[in-house]
Amino acid sequence: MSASLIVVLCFVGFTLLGMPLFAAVGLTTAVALVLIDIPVILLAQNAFTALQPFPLLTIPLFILAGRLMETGGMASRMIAIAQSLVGAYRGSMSMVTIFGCALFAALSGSGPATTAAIGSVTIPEMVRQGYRPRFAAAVAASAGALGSMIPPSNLMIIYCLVAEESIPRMFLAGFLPGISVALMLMVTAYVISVRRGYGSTGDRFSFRPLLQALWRGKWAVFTPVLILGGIYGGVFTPTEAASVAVFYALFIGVFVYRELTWDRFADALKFTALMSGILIIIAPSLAFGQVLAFYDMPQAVQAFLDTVAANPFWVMVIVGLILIAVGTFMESLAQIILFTPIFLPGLVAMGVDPIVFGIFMVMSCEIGFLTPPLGGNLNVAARLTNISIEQVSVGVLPFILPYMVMMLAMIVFPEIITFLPDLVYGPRL
Amino acid sequence: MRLLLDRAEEIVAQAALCLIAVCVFAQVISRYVFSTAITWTEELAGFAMVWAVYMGAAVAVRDRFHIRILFAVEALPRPLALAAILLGDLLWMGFCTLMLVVGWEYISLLWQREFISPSLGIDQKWPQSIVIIGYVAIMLRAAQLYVRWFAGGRVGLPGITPPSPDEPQRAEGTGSR
Repeated sequence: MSASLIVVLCFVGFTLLGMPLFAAVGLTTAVALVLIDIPVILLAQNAFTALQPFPLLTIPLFILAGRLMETGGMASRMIAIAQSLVGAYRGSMSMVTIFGCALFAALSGSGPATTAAIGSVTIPEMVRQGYRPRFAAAVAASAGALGSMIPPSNLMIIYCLVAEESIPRMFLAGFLPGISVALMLMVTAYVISVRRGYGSTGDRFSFRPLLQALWRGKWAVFTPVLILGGIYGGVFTPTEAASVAVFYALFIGVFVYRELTWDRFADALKFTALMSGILIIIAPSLAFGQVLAFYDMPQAVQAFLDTVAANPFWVMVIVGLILIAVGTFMESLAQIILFTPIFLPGLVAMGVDPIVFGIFMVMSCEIGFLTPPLGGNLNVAARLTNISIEQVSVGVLPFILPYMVMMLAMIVFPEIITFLPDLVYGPRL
Repeated sequence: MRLLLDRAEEIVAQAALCLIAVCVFAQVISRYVFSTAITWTEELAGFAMVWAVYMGAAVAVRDRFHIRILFAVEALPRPLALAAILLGDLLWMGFCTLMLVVGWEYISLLWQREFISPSLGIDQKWPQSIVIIGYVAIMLRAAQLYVRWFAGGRVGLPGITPPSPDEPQRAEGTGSR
């Protein structure tokens, strides 16, 4: 039995036994190291240095900022703005949810967090208005995944660390795909709402309520301007922007909206601590990625791809299908860390832009959020709605389609991704 | 005292997170308000990050927040599922022990010669000791889950089924995406 096969079997076995994933990856890495006689002490060194890079700090900071904004009153004002914009159509609450998630995604870097922030308000409202609960949960879950596509995005930060790409460039690249998916999700929600007769048509759209909502939510609307404007204006780095977001959210929550109490602040810190704890998986995953290089895994994968398809289009389709399949059960941080080094070199050799592959990868992770057995957004939405994960996963099926369509569109027209970064930073050489 | 023991890692992690936020923000403020660049904040924030992650990982064991793939185990009949979880947890503890052994080896290497961090000027072995502290805390919390499972009448699967029905299986949010 070849060493590579032993490593793969170890990983699958450990995972299926229900080991915490970081330990499963870690133990597999240890086996992989022993098999090729590399000292296991590499793991110890890596356990510290892997978690230390400055860009990585962006993740807990954005998680904390997002939580502070949610409990400090910004999420509810975002929803009010969305309501005044798209409230006039049938199924308006579902579209408010999607639009609200897209807005909140511009403050938050995380999918489940966006689902929680917007869904905790709009799901009960949808259920009250007679929407089927599994539809309500599915809308919030699928739109929440925009949190990782519309910048800032925690997953993109991880990708940039692994692929050595520029974070601001990557963030810009997510804009158009994120907004396109949001529009497609809204169309999907509209069609379903019309056919099922969900919700009533609200007041006709007029500018006055919109301006009022915008004015009342001005501090919330200013947040993405501050974060993204600061990054693209060259005022601060993404990590610094995240810390500015934390203090801005604190300031607004405590002094302007006065909704942020000491208890809520402590709770936000506790939540961030738990989320940071999950980042422990980065250390063994990075070590695993390094070890894989000794196993010639990228070359083997490339050889495999070359034999199944010579055409870049089909290669991307196959890679996309593999990533989606992996994403259903793999934690998305680990997915990016493990699979980027495997696929990226071969794809770059074929002329694929690393930014394009990054967005492609993040998109596949988002589909992973929406599919059992490990679907972060499904869990959150199911709990907010008090229905089972199985029910939500059925309800979410029509909303996975826009993500699939977008992945296909990105293969055919990679310009959707590269247009904005090329416009701002100039085309890549 | 009991409360403090229950929440020790949580408090350290929360403090470390505050330290990260303050350090990074101080960097911005010093650059724009005082027009000087402070360099040690970046390193201190990096150390705080590692501390927050390992302490957070221990909290996540206590709150059963770590990501585990359970569909295979849950499909098994209870005795087999229990056996699988026990085996998985034994392997998990084996991994932690391995990390303690190599972590100790690594710290001992650092101990032989002084490795001074570039900008704070402190000995690297102190911040690096968190790997040891973290894995010890993770093992203790895992052991605690078993003790509680045993004391609670061995209902469900240890470390997976929540002890009381009103406690959610996992705190809000799943994964850090």
